[in-house]
Amino acid sequence: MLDQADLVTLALTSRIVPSQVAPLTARQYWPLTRAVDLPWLMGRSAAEIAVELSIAGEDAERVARLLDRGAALALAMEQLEHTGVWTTTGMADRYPEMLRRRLGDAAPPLLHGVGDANLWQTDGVGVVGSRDIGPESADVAREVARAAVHQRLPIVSGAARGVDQHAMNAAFEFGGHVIGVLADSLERTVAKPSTRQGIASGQICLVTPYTPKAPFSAGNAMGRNKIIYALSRCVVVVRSEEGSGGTWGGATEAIRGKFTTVVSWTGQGSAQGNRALVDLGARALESADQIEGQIESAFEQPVPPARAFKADQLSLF
Amino acid sequence: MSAGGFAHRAQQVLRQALGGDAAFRPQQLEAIETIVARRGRLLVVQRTGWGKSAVYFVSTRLLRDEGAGPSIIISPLLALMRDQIEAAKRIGLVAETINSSNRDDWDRVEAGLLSGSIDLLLISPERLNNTEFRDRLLTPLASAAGLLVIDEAHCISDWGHDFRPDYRRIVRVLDLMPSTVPVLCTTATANDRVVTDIVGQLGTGLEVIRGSLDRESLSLHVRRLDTQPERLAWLAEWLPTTSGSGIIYCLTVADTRRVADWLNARGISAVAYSGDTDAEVRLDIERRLKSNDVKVVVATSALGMGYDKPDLAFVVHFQSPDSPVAYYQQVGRAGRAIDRATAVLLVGAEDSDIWEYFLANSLPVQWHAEAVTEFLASRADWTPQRDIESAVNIKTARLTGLLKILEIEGAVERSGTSYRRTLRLWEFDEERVDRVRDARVREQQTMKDYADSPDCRMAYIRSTLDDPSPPQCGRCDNCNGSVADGALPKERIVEAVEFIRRRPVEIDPRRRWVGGGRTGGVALDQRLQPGRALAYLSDPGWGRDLLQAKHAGRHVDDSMVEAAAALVEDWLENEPQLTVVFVPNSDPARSLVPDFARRLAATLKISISGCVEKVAPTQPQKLMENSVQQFMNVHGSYRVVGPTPTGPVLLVDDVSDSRWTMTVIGALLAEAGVGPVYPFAIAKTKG
Repeated sequence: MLDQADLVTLALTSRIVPSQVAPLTARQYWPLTRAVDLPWLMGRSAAEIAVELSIAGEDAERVARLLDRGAALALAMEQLEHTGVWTTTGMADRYPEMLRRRLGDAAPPLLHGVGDANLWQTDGVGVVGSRDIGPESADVAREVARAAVHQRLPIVSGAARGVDQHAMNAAFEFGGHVIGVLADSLERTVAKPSTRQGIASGQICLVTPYTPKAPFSAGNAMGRNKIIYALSRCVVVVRSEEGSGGTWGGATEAIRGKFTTVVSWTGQGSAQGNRALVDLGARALESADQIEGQIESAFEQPVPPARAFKADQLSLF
Repeated sequence: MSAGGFAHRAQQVLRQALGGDAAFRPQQLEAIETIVARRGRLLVVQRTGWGKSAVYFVSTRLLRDEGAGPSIIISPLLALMRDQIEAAKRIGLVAETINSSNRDDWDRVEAGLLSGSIDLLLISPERLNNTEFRDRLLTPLASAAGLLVIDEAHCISDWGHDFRPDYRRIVRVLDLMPSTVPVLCTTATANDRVVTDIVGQLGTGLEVIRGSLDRESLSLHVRRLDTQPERLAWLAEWLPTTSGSGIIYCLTVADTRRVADWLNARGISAVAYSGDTDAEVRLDIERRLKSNDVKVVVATSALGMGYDKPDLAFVVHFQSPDSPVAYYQQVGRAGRAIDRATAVLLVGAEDSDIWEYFLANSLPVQWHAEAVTEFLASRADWTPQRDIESAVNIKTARLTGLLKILEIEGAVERSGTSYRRTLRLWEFDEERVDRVRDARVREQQTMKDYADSPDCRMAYIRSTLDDPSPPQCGRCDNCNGSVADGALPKERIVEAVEFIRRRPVEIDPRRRWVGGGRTGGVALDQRLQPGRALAYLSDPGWGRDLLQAKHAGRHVDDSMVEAAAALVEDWLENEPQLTVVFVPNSDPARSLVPDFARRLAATLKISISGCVEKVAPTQPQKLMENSVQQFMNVHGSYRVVGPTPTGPVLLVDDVSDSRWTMTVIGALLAEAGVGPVYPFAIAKTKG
């Protein structure tokens, strides 16, 4: 059930309905939530908003224009709910706390998804890697899934071809749970009969920070990677090229930002990037029989503490 | 703007619209203030003619002047939309509609919405539930929303007699709408329970304005006449004594046609109107009634909410509606702008049977719902309705209704004529169905009590609608004597009986195969000719006689054979060398059909052929719930044996139900080079 704060969040940040002005980014949205009680914004004129928040007239105008979209959003959201796609905003109780703890103001203000959202209330085991892989990498992905299922942990992955697919299919086959974080096309992905059956059985939860119709883009894929790391206590990089590509970009960002424990496969089928990630600070995983141990050890690490945000003057627009 | 300033401005708009001395009726200004000045949510319960449209027209003008987006009016009936668009034009508002009958205008209307040139958009709830249409509405609505009007808001409540599932999704949309978008819900008929339910669903922020339900011009009368011939005779006697034009409401489509034909045969101009009538023809009928070109429109409840003819002089109910709310609404069409109007309720013996039938068929059944959702879940993909029919033995009409409800509830989604299970959890809400059934049964009882009551009719109806302490009206039959109790000449009743017996009932040939290895259209040369039945099975005349004969296991009377022969002679006088072929039965004890066919052929002095044989047993078709199942039941059960007749064939059966038996035999005969084939049944079941 969405409340007024959720509806304001949607109006400010969603791209699900058209807008004359650009919706707020995560880094614009979160500071605003600290500066004002969101429902207060409803029905306010640009002038009132400018005075209350001490922001420039044109920024206040942008907020007011975004809020005009309420009726269109109501229609669009009801349509989504109707087909079984739920929406969680940064204001909701069920918004995964770890996203905020690990990502701070880069955490997505909105998530759309299908399936059992309770799956993400506890950390999972992330699996990432290239789209084009050989049989050795596929085996590693399956072994990670086997270990996670054995420890009753969900697999978190990107639902892309290659490593993602092997890990998710394996977890599903072993009777485990899967959180697929999509960078695009939630609506099209859930059209597949096998996926629908998995969702109906409660084993699969698919989630995306983008609109359910969003097409693929490299930028969105990177934004998605962050979320995989933020929903996982440890992430196994099965195969990564060095210096470029989504897997490399996501892993190095996670290591730099200390999102979570990054584990890099260095055995059969690994690439140069895997070794380079170890040099940057990832833990090395050399053989399949170390997988369970690595997961256990990662889960012994403390979770990141809740962040304290300063209610600064808004200067982000 | 000050309160006085606001009232002044609203008054100005009203006068621009309606002329120099127009003034607001009680509570209209209060409603406009709630909507425009406070951007509130409002439920207005006022009788038809109070001037709800003035409220949203004036509000729209004021809101538009403040830069708000267009008003969107959601209304279930086309008749209302047409009237509203005309009225809006008169006050300088640009109003448009998007509905299934004006497809050619959609692009233009959408462009108008985007450019901001449209002030009011009228749409049906069904349209709003169309995904593609919704997507196209998003852009125009994304800049600035205006007033949202939910007309006939009692349809939101499943306590209401005409709850419409399409409204359930509107409630969800309103839940998701920020509280700053003004919403006006209007209805002419809502008792306390319905009002409470609407407020409960739309939130406590909903304010309610409620007025009196009296209509001073209307006098209500009741006449109990058990049989259809008596009621037809009454109409023929009463209508010529009544001036002006009016509406006769029937419960079934077949009855609207029968009553209209009867009246026309008696020289009273009448036309039938129902949901089966073409949209354009309906429009034309409404116009003719409005301009008094026709004395009577004989209609189902499809001619209903929102139809506005200020000088409608009378409303007669040929059968009793099943709810006081429906009854009040329908009689409320009469006497809006004239001093005197009459409403007569004819109470028939068949009324409660028809109510039962409607009730049983309108409520979803748990095992149906579960069978369908489980089947779709197992498919996990888009599945044509035909495939659902093959898998689940449910009547097509019921399945269609059920799929609609499941779609609205979010258990299934639809694309064209295919369905799939949504990703939502869903459970059959048996309690809700029971609750609705109980409410309907209570409403039926209220209608029975109304008919029997010795008290003031208007006061009775108003109190059932929770209008507080209504006074005696002084105009109804119980207050002031009846205008409907004239004697019925015996010969008029005899004529009506004759009319019912002689009137042809048509059997439409099936046009499409539905599975079991045969799909697509029935080839033209294998298709039956249009057929005839002597009567409907439920008719008091031949229908009842046939049922009695079947139950008693005896043959039909000579009079029935003679009537059938007269019908066939009349109908097929241009087909010489006709041969009678009958639908065979594997049980020799059940000889009604062969016996009837032999006697019919003898009376017509034409030959009879036993060229169709039954080769496999079948279940009675009435046990098969839908077309696919019916077809599969009879497909392959018959064969044609020689010698076959040459020339046209009259294919005879006792009862035509699914028409599959006749269609399959017709195709077999055509393959054997026999034809054309004219189907004839003694009685037809009502569809």
